[in-house]
Amino acid sequence: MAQGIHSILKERGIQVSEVHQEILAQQMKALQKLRETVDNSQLKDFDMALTHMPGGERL
Amino acid sequence: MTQELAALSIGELAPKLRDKQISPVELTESVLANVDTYDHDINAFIRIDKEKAIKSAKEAEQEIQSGNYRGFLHGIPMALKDILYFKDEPATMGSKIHEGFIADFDATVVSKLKLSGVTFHGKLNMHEYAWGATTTNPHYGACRNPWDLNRIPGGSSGGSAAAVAADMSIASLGTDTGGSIRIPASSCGIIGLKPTHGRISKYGCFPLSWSLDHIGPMTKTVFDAALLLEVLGGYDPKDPTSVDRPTQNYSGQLNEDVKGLVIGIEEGYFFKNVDNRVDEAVQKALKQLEKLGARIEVVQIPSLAQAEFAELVTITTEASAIHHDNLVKQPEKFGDDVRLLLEMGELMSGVDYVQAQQIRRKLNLEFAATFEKVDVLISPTLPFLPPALGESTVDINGQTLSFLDEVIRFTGPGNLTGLPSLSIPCGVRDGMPIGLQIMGPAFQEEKVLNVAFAIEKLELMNGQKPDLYRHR
Repeated sequence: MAQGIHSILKERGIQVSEVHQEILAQQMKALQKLRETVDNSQLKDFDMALTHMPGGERL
Repeated sequence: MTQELAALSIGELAPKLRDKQISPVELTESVLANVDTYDHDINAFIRIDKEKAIKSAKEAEQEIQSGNYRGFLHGIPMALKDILYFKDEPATMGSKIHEGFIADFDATVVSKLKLSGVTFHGKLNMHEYAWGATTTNPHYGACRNPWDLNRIPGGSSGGSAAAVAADMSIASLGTDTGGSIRIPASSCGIIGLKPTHGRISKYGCFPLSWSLDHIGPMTKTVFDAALLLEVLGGYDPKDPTSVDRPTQNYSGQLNEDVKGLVIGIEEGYFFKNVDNRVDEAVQKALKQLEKLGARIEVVQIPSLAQAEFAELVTITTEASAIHHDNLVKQPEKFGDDVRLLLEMGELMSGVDYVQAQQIRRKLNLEFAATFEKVDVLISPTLPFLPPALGESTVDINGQTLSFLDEVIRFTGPGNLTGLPSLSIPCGVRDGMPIGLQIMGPAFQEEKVLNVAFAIEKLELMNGQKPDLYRHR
């Protein structure tokens, strides 16, 4: 996984140290556990409610 | 007398200033004397502006002497977190990258405080870019907790909390994206209020995560928090997330009566894995409120199980979008912990982010349904006592857990939902203060403040302050 992380970040122009690659790999595993708490069957058609006000900044 | 002035609250000082029993200059000198005495150890300040503060205090003195008293904040010395813009002054955001940045306008909150006659005496230390909860700043030095200099003051507004707790600022402001007002308020034994998202304008505050960021008061008393909310609240067309809802006379309506109040307790989330000392202090406060006529009702908010995912994904993604260019071009200028978090945010997927926003809406609906049954929710602010500087883990009843995972567990839902949340000290255990969190319905800060006022009247702190203060 650490190598995959290195590739993704490198493509974005971000240099990441080996130490950080290892920590990030652990963090992504922890994130995967959190993802498992998400019940997608409850969410799939649920409006995310992110709105941008028509007319912009209302100034 | 002069030495004691800095220990007083806005509510105690304002009538004395108005009635010319004390002068703003005398008060500012008292606060600056404490900065001279204590900040060498605490390191709450990034910059101290003594000359400017005295000049401003003299102007306030002249105005008051000539009968132009502006109100409760006139002549009150305050230092603010170094993330809020003051026109033509540096704002570092606690970073190396913004070390030479000069703001060309005032933040809306700064404009409002200037109009109210506040005397500013410095900029306060913080976690770099507000992206962390320790205030162990690699560029400006670690800020230390006035209750125990070996422990962190919490963060990211650690300088604000430490300065207020050590009487180096009469009150202050913090910013809160995952708990950064309430965490240091709890750690340093003061009041921290994160109002409803949209209640206080964020214009002129450097962002960490637009949809989660809030600005709020950090004070010695509930009255002072109410007063500052009164001054700072209100619609601002310059902030696209500002909401046009009427504010109230929050300080004037404070009422300690909790008879008939229904307090919701979400045991499965907010009381799970809590240090026994913290749990005991919060339970004691709840029992006292029950004795005064409040009723406790156990509630369930199922989507809280997904709150950690939603908070982590939202904050890391938005923060990494803000700092992307600097992460590519000058990554070595970030502190190691912040750089790692920014790298992490680059790894989140678009699907993760959208699902996090779906969870936020679900949480908001569940909280709204809960507040149809209860008036407020009460929980600990933090599940542990503030750890020693440099610790990346915390001990909760013998379990060693990650500080980063645990620190925003109880405060994060307030940011995800935008609901008003306040931390108030509810006791001291093993020499450290413990914070109790009160959450309320959207735009009903008055409910949260009234419950806090009732808890303040219980005097659960028994007048205890940091030893630093008592031994001076």
